[in-house]
Amino acid sequence: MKITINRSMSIGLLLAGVMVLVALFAPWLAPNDPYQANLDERLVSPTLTATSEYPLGTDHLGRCILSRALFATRISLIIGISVISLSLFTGTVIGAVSGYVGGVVDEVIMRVVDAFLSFPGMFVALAVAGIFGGSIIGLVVALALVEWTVFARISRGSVISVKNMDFVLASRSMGAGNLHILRYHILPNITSPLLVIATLGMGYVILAAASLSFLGLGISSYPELGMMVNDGRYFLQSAPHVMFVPGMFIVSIVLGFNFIGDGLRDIFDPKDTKQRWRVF
Amino acid sequence: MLKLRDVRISFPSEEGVLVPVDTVDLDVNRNETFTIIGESGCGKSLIANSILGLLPKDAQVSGRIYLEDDDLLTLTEKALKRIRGRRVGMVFQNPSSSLNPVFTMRSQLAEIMKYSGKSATINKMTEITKSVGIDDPIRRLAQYPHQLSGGFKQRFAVAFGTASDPDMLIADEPTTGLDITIKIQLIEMLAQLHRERSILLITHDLDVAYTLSDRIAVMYAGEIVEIASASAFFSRQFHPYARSLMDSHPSRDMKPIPGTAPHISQKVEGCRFNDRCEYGHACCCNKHPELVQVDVDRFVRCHAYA
Ligand SMILES: Nc1ncnc2c1ncn2[C@@H]1O[C@H](COP(=O)(O)OP(=O)(O)OP(=O)(O)O)[C@@H](O)[C@H]1O
Ligand code: SF4
Ligand SMILES: [Mg+2]
Repeated sequence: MKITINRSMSIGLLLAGVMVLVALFAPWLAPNDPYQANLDERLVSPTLTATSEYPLGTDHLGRCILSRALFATRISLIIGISVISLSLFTGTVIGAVSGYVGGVVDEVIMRVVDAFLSFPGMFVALAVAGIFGGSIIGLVVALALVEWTVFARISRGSVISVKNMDFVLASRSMGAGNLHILRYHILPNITSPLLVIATLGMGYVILAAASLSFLGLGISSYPELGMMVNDGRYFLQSAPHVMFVPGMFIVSIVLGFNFIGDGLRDIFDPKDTKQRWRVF
Repeated sequence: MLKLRDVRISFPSEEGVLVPVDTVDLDVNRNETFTIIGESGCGKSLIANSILGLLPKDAQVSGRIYLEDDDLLTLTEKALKRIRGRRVGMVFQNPSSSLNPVFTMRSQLAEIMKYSGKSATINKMTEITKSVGIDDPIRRLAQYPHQLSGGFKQRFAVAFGTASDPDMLIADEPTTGLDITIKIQLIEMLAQLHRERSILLITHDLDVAYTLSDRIAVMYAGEIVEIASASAFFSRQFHPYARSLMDSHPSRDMKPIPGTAPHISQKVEGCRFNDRCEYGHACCCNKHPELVQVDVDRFVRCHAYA
């Protein structure tokens, strides 16, 4: 099969790729210790030269902003990947069972999903983050509690449209059981919409994590992009870079994943590809 | 081999119970090709799917369906699973949707052989693929459904249905949507298959029925209206609907049958064909005709022969 990489896909891959590399190699790339405060050099402006001690300046405690942002990108991606994997797994399993079994089971599961959706996502996350307070696990759980419903709905819908296809009936007529049908026939045919949602979800989750941290409900023991933006709030006029630099990191990560998601959606769009049959 | 006795398929619905298939009796003998013909919506596919228990959950089936000594309607899902594919294979109406779009033919064939307990060696797969008239099996097995033409897809569908070497094959309109040359090839292939196994063939194509059938049943609005040996049937049809059906063939007058069949939600008092029948008798409108034997190898459901 030929995969054509479209423009939004390439921009996305570039942006997200750079951010992932940056996160992976943060310890080697960072010029300074991200925790090391230097009260003599507070709110130093960026020099933008690689040789200087603080290429992107320092914050109100004299910590190297570049180093902190690099490590914070790591945390953001870890949170994003954890939340998405967790919700992708639980949401897909629950949604697929719901759609496949149908009937009362489906009815009950979908009412639970509705219940989750009837709370504004951010408030659920706020509440849970408030309870768990400050830990990465708390933040991941808070965000996953909101995010899984998206996967549950999408996978349920896709399963329902696939399970009535003739090839499922044909497979049943040859003696295949439910488990085999779900694994071999249904899951491979619903991966494309889930992949799109997962990629778009990465952007959303990372933004949401940053927002919670900005509100002081995220993690406090590691450098975090949202928290860094919050730190810079008081110096918006005197030292805008304290806010601007972590802000740009957030924008790059989120945009990167959103572009990839959009690109994937176009590639999977049945209108574009007569080549391959799609659910989405 | 296969016996259906008084089979009735119904669906509960908001407008009351729908009965798209009613009092169907038929026998498919060993190594015989039995064909059901009839217009769209008369219940052919429902009968085909009811045999292996493949109807939607809300369908209610009554009567008896025997496969040799097994009473299929009383079997558990687990017991049915052992019959599906191994003793009775199926080929479905629409070749492009009865193949999984995301796997190669080889992967799908291997999968079918695996869960029917056969080892899927490449030799065996090539052999099966060749048996449905595909000359370059290695290349075709490596392709995805979207890379294959309708004819090849339908051959693979037949290959899948027969991969586990069942004694009986149910083929639901295997030639629909194929162009004429491919249709002929597929008919020849099915004719080949039919020497070794029983086939329940469903079609609305009279040419296919003529070429392949040993015996034939004509269905109208959920009922069998005539059963006869193919030779007797094609030389003369007794039931007025069967006759009109033959007259609608291009080689005859190509005369369309006026009117439409009653909808399944409609309750018809007398003969279900009576509003379209040109031989209407007085009793046709209020008395439902029974299927009666009128000849050594012929049963007809019509007051004119009662
Ligand atoms: N799940 C269902 N619920 C209610 N009615 C149904 C259901 N499935 C089929 N029917 C009805 O049963 C009738 C017979 O359907 P069936 O698919 O057996 O027709 P067919 O003879 O195979 O026609 P075709 O030649 O178009 O394939 C149709 O009128 C259809 O509307
Ligand atoms: S029973 Fe009457 S209406 Fe029905 S087919 Fe025979 S003659 Fe026609
Ligand atoms: Mg049909």
